[in-house]
Amino acid sequence: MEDRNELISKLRLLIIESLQLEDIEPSDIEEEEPLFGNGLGLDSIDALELVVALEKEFGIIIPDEEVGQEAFASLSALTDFVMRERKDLS
Amino acid sequence: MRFAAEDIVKVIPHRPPFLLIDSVEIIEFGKRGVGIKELIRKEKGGGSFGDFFDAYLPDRRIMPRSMIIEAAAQTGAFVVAGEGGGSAPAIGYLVKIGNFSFDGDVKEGDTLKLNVELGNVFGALYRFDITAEAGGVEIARGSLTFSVETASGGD
Repeated sequence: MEDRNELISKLRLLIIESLQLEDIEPSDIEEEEPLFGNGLGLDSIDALELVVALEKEFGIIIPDEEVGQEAFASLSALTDFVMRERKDLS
Repeated sequence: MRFAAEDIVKVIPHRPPFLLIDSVEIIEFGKRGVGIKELIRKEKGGGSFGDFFDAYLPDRRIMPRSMIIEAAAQTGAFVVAGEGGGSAPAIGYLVKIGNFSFDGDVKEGDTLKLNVELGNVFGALYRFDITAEAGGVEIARGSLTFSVETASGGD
C-alpha cells in the first residue's frame, strides 16, 4: 500500500495532466491551498475534468457537487478523500 | 427509437439551416443516442445547407469539421432533454471541447452518424463522449461539456 506522500505526488501529477496546466509544476500545488477559486484558480469545468480523471485512475465516483466541494477543498482534502474511498472499494 | 426533425425541433431551439441533424436514434434517453445527418445536396437555395458544399472549400465538397462538433452538440441536447417530447426544456451552452481529433471528412452524399454518450454529470455540467462516423468509418472522436440551464432557471 502506498503511503500518503506517494499518493500526494500522484494526485499532483493527475491534476496537472488531466487539466493540462502547462505553467504549473507539481511543487506549485500546495497541500492546504484551495484548488478552486483563490488558490490554484481552477473552475467548475476543471472540477468536472478532475471527476472524470479520478474515476478513470482510481475508480472513485464523485456523485455531486456537495461531495466535490469536500474532496476538492485542497490537495490535502483530496488525498484524504481518495484514501478513504479506496479503502471502501477494496 | 428513431426521432425525426419534427420531433427534434420540439426539444431543441435550433432551426434550419442551423439544425444539423435529420434524426436521432435514441438508445437510452438521458444516456446514449445517435444523431444522423444525410449529406444530400439539396437544390440550390433550398433545404438544410443546400449550399455549404459550394461555400466551404468548394473543390473538396466536405462538411466543415467544426460543424460536426455542432451536430454532435445538438444530438447530445436531444439525448438529454428529449424524453417527454420537450416537456422539460433546457438550454445547454457548450463550455468545453475536449481532445477532439479528426482523421477523415464527411463528403457530399455521406451519412454522418454522431454517437453520443453522456459520461459524468457534475452540478450543471454534462460531459459527453463523442465519436463521428461517415460512410461507416470513424472519422472523429472527442468530448463535449455543456452547462445546462433549466427552464425554471435552476435551483
